[in-house]
Amino acid sequence: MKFCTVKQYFDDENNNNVTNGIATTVIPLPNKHLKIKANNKEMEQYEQELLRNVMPQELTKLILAANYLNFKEALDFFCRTVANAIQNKSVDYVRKFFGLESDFEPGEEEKLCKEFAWSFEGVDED
Amino acid sequence: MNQWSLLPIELLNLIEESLDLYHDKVRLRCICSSWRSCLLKMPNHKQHQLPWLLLPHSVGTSCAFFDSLEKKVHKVELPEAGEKVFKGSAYGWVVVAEKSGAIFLLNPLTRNKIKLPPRSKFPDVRKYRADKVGYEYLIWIYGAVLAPGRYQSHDATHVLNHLLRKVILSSSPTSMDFVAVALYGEYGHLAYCKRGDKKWSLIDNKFPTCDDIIFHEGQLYALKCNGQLMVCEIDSCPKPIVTEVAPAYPRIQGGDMYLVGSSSGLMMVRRCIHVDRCSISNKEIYTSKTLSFMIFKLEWK
Repeated sequence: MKFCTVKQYFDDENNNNVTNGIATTVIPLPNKHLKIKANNKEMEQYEQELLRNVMPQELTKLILAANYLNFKEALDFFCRTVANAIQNKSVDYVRKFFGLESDFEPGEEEKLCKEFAWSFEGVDED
Repeated sequence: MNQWSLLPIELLNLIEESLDLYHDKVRLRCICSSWRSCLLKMPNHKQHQLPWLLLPHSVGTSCAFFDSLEKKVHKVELPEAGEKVFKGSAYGWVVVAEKSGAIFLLNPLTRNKIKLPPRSKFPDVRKYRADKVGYEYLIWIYGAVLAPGRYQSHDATHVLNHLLRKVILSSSPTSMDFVAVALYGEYGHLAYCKRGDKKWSLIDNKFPTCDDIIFHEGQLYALKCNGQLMVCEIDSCPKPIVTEVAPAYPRIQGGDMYLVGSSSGLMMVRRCIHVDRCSISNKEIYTSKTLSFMIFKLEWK
């Protein structure tokens, strides 16, 4: 059930959605997931390892690959990993993490800061 | 090319949903303009999150909320709620009643407002005159055991503070078919309104009166002051049907009664209070002290 898309992947000649490197990470995941499903601590460790070894840009490829392969558990896991990485971090930190820049109009960003002042308080140190 | 900016909307939403803290969801919408426009304007209220507690004694137009998860107090400006009293909260919205008689739902974080029919459109109001200061409302007071029913004039402040106890919602106000139910009047009567209604419709005004109301697993329950539990079918024709679910329970003197819903069922909580009376400078002062709580679980047989 989990790998119905895998056959299609190998049949497609020109498949740009999933590069080899990503497939190596995503495909072994179900086995690991099944083995340590009951053990949350090990899953956390695996998550930490993933974050250390994989650049944020690579994470997006993992998410896209898991989505293409229709692999819900891996997709949820990678999204959670991203969510945990940016939890309680400032807007600037999150921008750096995703490699994005603010493209708001000059007054617009100030307006947002004022309107949601309560959500910008108490973030972790960058 | 930055891959993150090309992330499909549904995957961006999946990341947003994985965020636990409400603040993180708000901050995600401040990253760049395309993410701001892709994500829903405000995050959906996650039911399992610990609620913010509205603190009393707000100053001016700002209200203070205590965030029990982060152990912080947040000040939120609420100019929309002028001389207001909060009569309930649900699904991230608060119910605001004003001296003018206006009743509306207010989302403290998005500032959206949803109007409900005013206090003057309740079943017990015979007449309402905004210009008759001090006597704005002519209200029908139902007869008790030794007193017949009668009309009585009340001023807007008294009606605001004492004749509208609580308003609850059947579901999030963002859904088209939500129902608001109010516990009102001197004797705890029930009325409801649906989206778009111009007035509040009567559910129940029979004695004994109601002490609390709750929506639990899609049903509307009302707790009578003698411990009798009723279930109300609002959509029955021609008028709402109220039936007993659990019989009256021997009442402890001087108690306040509450209905509480939980995943393990419906519960009734009695707060046992002791009231002291003393005279200070010819004025009668009443002080009450909570002695204990008794919790009863509803057993379905």
